[in-house]
Amino acid sequence: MSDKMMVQIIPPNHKLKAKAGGPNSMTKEQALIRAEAVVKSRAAEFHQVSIAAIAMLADFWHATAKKPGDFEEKDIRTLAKMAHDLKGQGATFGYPLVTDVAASLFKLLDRPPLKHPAFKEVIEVHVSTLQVIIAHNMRGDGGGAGQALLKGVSAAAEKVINATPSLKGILGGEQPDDDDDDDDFDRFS
Amino acid sequence: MAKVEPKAAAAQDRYDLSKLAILVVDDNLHMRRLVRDMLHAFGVGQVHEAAEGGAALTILRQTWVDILICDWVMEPVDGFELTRMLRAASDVPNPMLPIIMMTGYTEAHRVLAARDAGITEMLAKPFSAGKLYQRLIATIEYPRAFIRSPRYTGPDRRRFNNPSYEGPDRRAKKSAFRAGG
Repeated sequence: MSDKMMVQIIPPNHKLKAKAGGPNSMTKEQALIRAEAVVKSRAAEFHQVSIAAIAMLADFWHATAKKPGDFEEKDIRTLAKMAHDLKGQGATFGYPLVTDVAASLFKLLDRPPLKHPAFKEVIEVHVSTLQVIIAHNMRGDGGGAGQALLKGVSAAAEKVINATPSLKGILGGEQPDDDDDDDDFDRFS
Repeated sequence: MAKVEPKAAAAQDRYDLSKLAILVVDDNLHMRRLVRDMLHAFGVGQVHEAAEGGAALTILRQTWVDILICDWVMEPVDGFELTRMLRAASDVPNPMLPIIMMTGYTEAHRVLAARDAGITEMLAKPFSAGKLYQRLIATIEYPRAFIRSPRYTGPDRRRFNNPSYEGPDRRAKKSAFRAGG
């Protein structure tokens, strides 16, 4: 059977919309007030979770840094996964600065410039910055001090990344040259 | 370029989500529970949970689920693989269900890879309650045609109807039939 004969297009249906009409309806504003109350009520839990996640990343990094010889790719991959998780949960849990610093760390680790002389030091700076943010419970953008920390680590990471072209993505395979544009997300959504 | 508008009535401003069943898949327990609790706050009736794709598929085989919300990076079966397995499954009651992929991967080539695996919407991490609600309502309000072809199975990737489109025709030029549903 040719490709032409095997294409099936099933028209959209509105079953979900039909299911979403009922006597217990609420507006978007009412739904968001309820959901934001849930987030607020869990602030203490999120603080503890963030402390634990950053401590785990720091412990893993310090153990990795102590190993003799070159870094092993599996260790960098594990560290990258931890940074990626922190990036994803930071702002959702009330710590956007954690997201920003973890994003910078992930960018560095996703295409790790293993041979760059400052690679290890720049990771260390990111890890210690994350520890400072959570130790001081720096919520929101962290104010002037927080933004200064972010600017410092981001600049350090960019300097190392830009000095080492044509790197391989460690969690997601090869990446194209124009891979640093997060706004591309909106093309799909 | 004309946007394809759904034929149903205009978007509502109130929703009763109590009849919906949603499966949340994330290996981060705290993130998973936060999404679960947000969904309950929105009024969603049933929220199922799984920590990775394999466990999610087991639930999907046994239970009717209206919408799947899943993380991308999980082990052993990640959200990408779960999407492929689900779209190809013959033993799942609702293999065409909308999939909202939560991910910190927002770079273009990764977004396109997720789209080509058959997801419906993406939700960038970190996200707010407002963003989650927005994606949920978009899924309800703007259902898309479902495509089964040799190269792709999933929601129609064409969100815009462009009559003057002159690019490559990745789908076969003429569909053999249109099925009801």
